[in-house]
Amino acid sequence: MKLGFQHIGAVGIPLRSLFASLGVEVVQADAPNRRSAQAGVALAPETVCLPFKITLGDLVQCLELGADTLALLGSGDWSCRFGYYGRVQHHILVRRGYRFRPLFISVDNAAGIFNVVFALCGRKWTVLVYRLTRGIVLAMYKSTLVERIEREARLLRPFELRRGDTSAAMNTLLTRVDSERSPTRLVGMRRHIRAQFRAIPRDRSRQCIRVAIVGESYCVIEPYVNFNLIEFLGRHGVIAEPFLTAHRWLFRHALKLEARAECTKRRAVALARPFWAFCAGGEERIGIGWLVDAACREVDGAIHLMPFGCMAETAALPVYQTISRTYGIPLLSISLDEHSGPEGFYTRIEAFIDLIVLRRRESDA
Amino acid sequence: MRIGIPRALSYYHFHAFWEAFFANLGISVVVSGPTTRDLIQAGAAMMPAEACLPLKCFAGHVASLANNADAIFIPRIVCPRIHPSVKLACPKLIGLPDVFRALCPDIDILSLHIDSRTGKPSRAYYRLAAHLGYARNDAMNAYESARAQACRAPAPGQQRRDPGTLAIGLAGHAYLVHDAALHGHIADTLRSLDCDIVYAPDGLRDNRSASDGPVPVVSWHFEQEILHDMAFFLAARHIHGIVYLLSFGCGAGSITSELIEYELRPHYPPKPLLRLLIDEHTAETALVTRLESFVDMIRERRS
Repeated sequence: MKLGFQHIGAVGIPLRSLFASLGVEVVQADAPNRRSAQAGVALAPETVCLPFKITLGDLVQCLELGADTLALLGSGDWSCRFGYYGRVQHHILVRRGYRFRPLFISVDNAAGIFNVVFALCGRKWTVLVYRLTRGIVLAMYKSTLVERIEREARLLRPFELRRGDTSAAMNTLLTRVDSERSPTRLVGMRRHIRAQFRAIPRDRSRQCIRVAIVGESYCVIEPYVNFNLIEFLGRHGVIAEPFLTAHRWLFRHALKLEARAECTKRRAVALARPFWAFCAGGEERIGIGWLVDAACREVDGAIHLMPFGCMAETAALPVYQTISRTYGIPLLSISLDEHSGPEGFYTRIEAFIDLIVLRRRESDA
Repeated sequence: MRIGIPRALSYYHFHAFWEAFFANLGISVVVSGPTTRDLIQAGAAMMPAEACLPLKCFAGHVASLANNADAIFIPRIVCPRIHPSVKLACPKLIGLPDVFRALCPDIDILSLHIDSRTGKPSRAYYRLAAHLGYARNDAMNAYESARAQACRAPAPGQQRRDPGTLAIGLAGHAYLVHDAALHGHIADTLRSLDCDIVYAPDGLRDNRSASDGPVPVVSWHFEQEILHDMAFFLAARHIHGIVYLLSFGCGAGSITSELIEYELRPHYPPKPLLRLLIDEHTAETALVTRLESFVDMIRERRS
């Protein structure tokens, strides 16, 4: 079985590890790219949200690379469109003439997923238990390593002396975590990660501003869609604090576990309650709480990313703006779609950073 | 005390009930006037550009009520129904009171929240009445009689139709379909083209088993109603064509129209379907042109 699935930032690393442990061959491009995005946009309905189009393009590229099974994400009972991605993407691909076996990743399809996995293990319970346990534990551990690498990188990058050091180290480490299979070597990687980042020369005295990144989860996590925003901010001397990363998304959504963050989910929900009492289907409640928390921690500014037409984020946008005004934290809201280009995006971010730096200097003086 | 109810969004689903409930409690209610171009423009200035047209219209209505009412009633509808499966409302309905508390801090907003997952909707109404200072008994009586009054809605009349008149089913959200100014007077245009407008019977909404044939299941309550309406129109032999009204920013609508295409239409005999995507910049002439060609096409097929 050759399995293809969509990219969601670095979530692919633990997922690929899980599938490898189960004995599944994964067929996937390295990341979303221009070609896959164009294929997705061509096939997707026009008014659907951007993550749908990009992930559809990922799936098309997996099929072109020879996948015969596709893992389709998205399951019902939400108010956000994400619950329908798998269902509608399946229809679109079948009507287009692609031949594949769909594997719907959802709670409703637990029996179906179990059958597939059991068949992969030769219908032997001992093999299933061994592979599943090992696979899940390894995937969870890799996810924590990915979080550690990304966190160290974004906290260090604004202070690096030689531009590009941190990103090079981060990419090397991520590739190594992705390809590593042995548990003992993975445990040893924690020390290795710390050593690698410690070795990078930095200027501790630099004054760097902090900017929170809130908004829709896919836009914040997937670097292709946000044009590598965290790296861009780091190059311009900004410490990025994204409210969601690949590891937190995986742990919160798939495993319902709390993940370490500057502001936990529980705190974010409590802070958001006066402004946004209910979860309207997306991550907007956590984003609003994060913005309030960022204002309390005197973070210098916030960038709000959303796909064009995102239901939950569009509805919550007036609330974000009100919090920004009330608490005095500068907010830049950008809506992304398939026509967004990096130049326009970077220009706006640079102007925003300039304004924040000026504001900080004036308030320090 | 005067309570203002904006004539937009869930007003079109629940207005008979709300007006009866507040009248039974002895509270005077003022409903905002009919939608006008100026109202929509005012609302569009308040909301972000990507918000759907009905939401901008709602904002305009809220703004117009600001001076006429002591408090504006904006309910939070989270989960209207849990049978046969959990049905949620669209995100904007879930967050509606929060949005307007943020946008209009000077206006007093009265809200209740309807979430069938955590309790009966009636309790939300009792709590609102208690908040306004009414005894629980009064609230219960008001609720029950309001329900009885709202159910006694007049049944749609069956008229005799000339053989040349086409019956066109109008599908879409109630707040779009029944608000003539919002959808650009499509009903009038169709009537001038010698067509009869057919709305899905209201009884359909409460009696799920009335729809025979497969209907795709979604977790949005109001979209599920549209799917049932669409199934009714596709199955009904006396209906010659369907006009499906969508707002430009409607997220749930974008998914529902795909599900209609892939999961609903293949199971029914083919029928002409016109999808109209409407936003505040839509020109009426454009709509008239499309409707004219749609009706011409149906007539040509029939002859």
